[in-house]
Amino acid sequence: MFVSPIREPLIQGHKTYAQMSDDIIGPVEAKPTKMWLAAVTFCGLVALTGFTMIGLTITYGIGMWGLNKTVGWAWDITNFVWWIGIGHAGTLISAILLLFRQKWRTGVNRSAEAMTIFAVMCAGLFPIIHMGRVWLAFFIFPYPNTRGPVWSNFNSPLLWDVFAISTYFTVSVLFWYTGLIPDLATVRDRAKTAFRKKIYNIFCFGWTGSAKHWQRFESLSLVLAGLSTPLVLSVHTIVSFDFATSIVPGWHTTIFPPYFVAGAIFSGFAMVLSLMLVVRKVFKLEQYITLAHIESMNKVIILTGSIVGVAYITELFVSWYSQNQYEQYAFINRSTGPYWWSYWGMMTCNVVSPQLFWIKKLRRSVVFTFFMSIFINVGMWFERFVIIVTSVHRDYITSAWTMYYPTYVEIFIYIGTIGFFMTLFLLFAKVAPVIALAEVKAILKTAGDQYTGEHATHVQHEHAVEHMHDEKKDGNFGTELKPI
Amino acid sequence: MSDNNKFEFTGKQKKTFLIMMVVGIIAVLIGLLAGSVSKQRFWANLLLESVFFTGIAACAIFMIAAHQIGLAGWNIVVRRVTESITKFTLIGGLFIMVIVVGTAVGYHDLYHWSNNFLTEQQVTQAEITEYEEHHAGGHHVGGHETEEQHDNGEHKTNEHDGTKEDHEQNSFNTSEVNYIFTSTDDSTHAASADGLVENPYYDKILDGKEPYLNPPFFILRAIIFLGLWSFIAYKLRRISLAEDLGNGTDAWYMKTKFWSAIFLVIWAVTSSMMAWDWVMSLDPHWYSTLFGWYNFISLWITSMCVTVLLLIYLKSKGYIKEVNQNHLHDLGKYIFGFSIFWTYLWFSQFMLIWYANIPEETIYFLQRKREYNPLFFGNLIINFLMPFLVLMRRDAKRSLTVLTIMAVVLIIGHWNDFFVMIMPATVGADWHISYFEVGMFLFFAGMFLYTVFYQLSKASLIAVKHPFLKESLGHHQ
Amino acid sequence: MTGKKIVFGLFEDEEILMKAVKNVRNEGLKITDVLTPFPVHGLDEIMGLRQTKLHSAGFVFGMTGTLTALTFILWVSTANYPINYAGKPYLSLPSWIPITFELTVLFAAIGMTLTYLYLNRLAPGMKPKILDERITSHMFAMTFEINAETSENKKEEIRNVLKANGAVEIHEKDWDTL
Repeated sequence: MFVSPIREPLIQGHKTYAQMSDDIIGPVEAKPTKMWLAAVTFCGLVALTGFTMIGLTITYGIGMWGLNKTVGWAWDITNFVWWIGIGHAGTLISAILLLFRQKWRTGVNRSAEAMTIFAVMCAGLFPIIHMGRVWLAFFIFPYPNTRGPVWSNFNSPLLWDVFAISTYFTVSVLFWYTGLIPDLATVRDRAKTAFRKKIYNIFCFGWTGSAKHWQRFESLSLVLAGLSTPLVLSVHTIVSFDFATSIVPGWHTTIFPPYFVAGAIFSGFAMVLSLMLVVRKVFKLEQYITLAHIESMNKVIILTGSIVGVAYITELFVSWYSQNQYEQYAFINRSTGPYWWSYWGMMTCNVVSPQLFWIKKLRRSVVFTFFMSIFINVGMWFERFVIIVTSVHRDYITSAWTMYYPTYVEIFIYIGTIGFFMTLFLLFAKVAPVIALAEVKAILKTAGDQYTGEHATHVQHEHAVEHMHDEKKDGNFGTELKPI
Repeated sequence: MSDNNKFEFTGKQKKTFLIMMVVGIIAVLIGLLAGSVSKQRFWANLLLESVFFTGIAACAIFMIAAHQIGLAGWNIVVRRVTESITKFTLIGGLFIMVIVVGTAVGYHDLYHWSNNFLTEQQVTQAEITEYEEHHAGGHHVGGHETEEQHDNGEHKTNEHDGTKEDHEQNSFNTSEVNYIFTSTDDSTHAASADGLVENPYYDKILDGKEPYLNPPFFILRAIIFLGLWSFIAYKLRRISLAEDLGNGTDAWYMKTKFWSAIFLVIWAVTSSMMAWDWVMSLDPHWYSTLFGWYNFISLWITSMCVTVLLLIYLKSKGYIKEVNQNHLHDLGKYIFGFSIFWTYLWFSQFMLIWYANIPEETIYFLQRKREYNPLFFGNLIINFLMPFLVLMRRDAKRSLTVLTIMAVVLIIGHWNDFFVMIMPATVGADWHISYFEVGMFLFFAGMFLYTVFYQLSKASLIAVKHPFLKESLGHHQ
Repeated sequence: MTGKKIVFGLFEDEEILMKAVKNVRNEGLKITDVLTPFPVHGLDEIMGLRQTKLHSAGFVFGMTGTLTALTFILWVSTANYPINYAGKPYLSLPSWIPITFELTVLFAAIGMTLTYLYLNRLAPGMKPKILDERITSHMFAMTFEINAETSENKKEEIRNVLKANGAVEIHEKDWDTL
């Protein structure tokens, strides 16, 4: 397939297939470094603190949190939505970008998928602990029971969420793992010890790389991508339904579904950037996760950030346009009420600051991108806080107005989930290749810098244009046509 | 490349399009002169067609800009056709301007919020009489809003009987729905010292919306939207044509990139606002934040269907052999994917309103379900089920016959979508799809095709020096 | 002991491999399998492999999910446990769509993945025959199955064809001892 020379290469350093295996699997084979051990220990301890706080919550009840009669959803659901949102980038990169044939996704998709799974695990934690009696959590599933005919409420968005998130988790795991199988086989075949070979053989399901297997593999990835694309949309859509089906001013608005999805992709990409910028440095993968990758991801950040921005402004405008005083007040309260800082924090981090990425220099600056990615994650957390707490703390009845403040238990549970997430990611990065090796190899011929870009040394094959019977050799065809 | 890409706009084609336009005009004239078609129906149809066709053209600009920014290479062979479509933006825009300017020169039946009378609390008795006489004359007033205010659930007998009967016969009876707002007591018409009386038709909501919904601003916005789109369409086309004569560097490519980025920013804002302005404000009390994006996707799908039809037509005439099944397959995938996305938006909007069950919102769907039942549900069947079931298979997206049929079906389907959005607010229950509607459509279609074919004939059908051309030529799935 | 043996050539580049596959097939030799470290686009076509029907399986599984969800919710909501929620009718199709959609995707994804694993005989604990450890990293193998009765001529022909088409190494291994 011909690739225009003005396209930027995505794999640098004139790599061969053997070198690619060395570079990408190398970190998996190396002994754990002190830095890695220190990081895992630290994150593990943070996670442990979080789980201790969850233990406190379960032991003493939800009273340990700052919730009250008016604000029944606050920090917990904010975190839930925040994590679910972060868990959208992996599937987006692997599925939607696969369908849109964006080759740069191969550099980051594997880690992003892993991140997705870990983020969904963190997210799922919150509604469960919010139930209070977590030992009865299985009640949310419709199962035949002895309490007479009693079924869960199929008309409730909360039940839709149960289905959406469990489906999303399952499908993400399938997508991630089926893609991982060939790469684990590579790890197996490079393993030096019999034990290591055995372990990796179990995990790679005995993959050999037969042509028929690859054919089915490609078919499976394409269909899973096709399924995941509407799935990833549906998940955050259903999360938005939790709010939008209600009649709470500020929650009931039809733009919520697509706007939540865009916001989820936005925050997910930010998290992928935060992690990958560190990973490429630590594992020395700068030649596989290049500035071209970072620039492309930053473009997605501008796009989704702007969609989110348009949605904020649409909401704000329509609240005024509705001429409904409750709608109007919800937005006045957001921007000028006691939680004004979260609204303006959200606007600054999510709408204003990503616009700096219009400047090419900043888009390609690793340091700037890293800070921006953290900034966006903070902003997206504010967004959920604005939507949830600000909308419910002052609604129709003024006598019920109140404030919400988190307790130390809530704060540490949240920080704990970040520790938990990082621990899982660090473990993953140690046992499996962080880059989809087979997929990156498959784009070498069209995106390696020896084949495309300004330092290309190989001449491209032009059989792609064979069917053009009357093409002139110098490529300067069509001059006889005079544009008017 | 040989002459096979020098498109000739033949006399026969010109004649066909002119005949389409003439037949359209005759149908419209017959309708108007024979008196069987109300003025309101005329304007509503004019609005429908001009928004529909201008939207198709504007979405073609979006198509170019989005692919440029997404660094797509496959679509370059299709690009000249897309470019030609964009050029209709200005012409379609002129028709929109005619309608939009109407709000300022006293035609208020289409956008009844533009009537100052409704937003004045104190008016003269003469103004009331004039308003009532106007609406007693068989007019299907778009908003039933005036009615709702002094109805409040019970039917009072008052001096607006004519209006009321008119509503009950022709329009959805909104008195079933109690609005949360009330306005002034309409029974008191006591004249104040300066000869003004309380306006029984005073609409508090419209008064509140006046800073946005007022004719001068409305016109200004339309000028800005249409002006910006047309300007960028012109720019992109000119850069693209200049590239053909250039020296093969990427200078034009970079320029296109610049204007594409600008367009996307403009489009982000204007695509939603055009839908609020031109379509949503027909029901000025009703609002939905999703409305803009929903309209955009509907138009974009149509725009892609039009592109597919043009490509297949050109191929059948022996042009653009470079466009093969692989390119059409990609367009087919887009149409398939975005049809599902359209359904998603439709469902999101409908379900949230249905679920929350707030009367101000549900009235929109209730009226459509009752008065436009076959069209309302047909909308989903044509625009979702058909593409979903037919275009799911790979072979279907690669078959020119299937694509042609689906493109035609979806163009009709999305026309119907706009029909169901525009008509209930304008002609109410008294809707028709007959020779008049078909005529109006034919007139616009003829004009649209004439413009597009004329543009096609002005340059090579392939952007011969685009840096991604070779990628596009060698594109395969 | 079946006496089954595998002759295989190793290639270094997929473009050489693709040409080789084409030539070898033209010469009338039957290729048993081609092993590659990554999916080589178009290889299945050149090898003359049948298109996989895996996606059709996905469709069937998906439809099963749709029907399961719809019939189950219909039965619960209208027959087994009809409860009035927010004044909505018992049969409230719009609010069943989300779960129906999720189950469609869930069934399709799980069903397809299991089918895929089954067809490829992939499972934890499988003992694959690994011809060469470089195949999953950077080498491409074209294999030919032979047995004890295969004539030396035939073997020689295979070797020659592989060599002529750019194989950098040629090996022969016993299937049973792999």
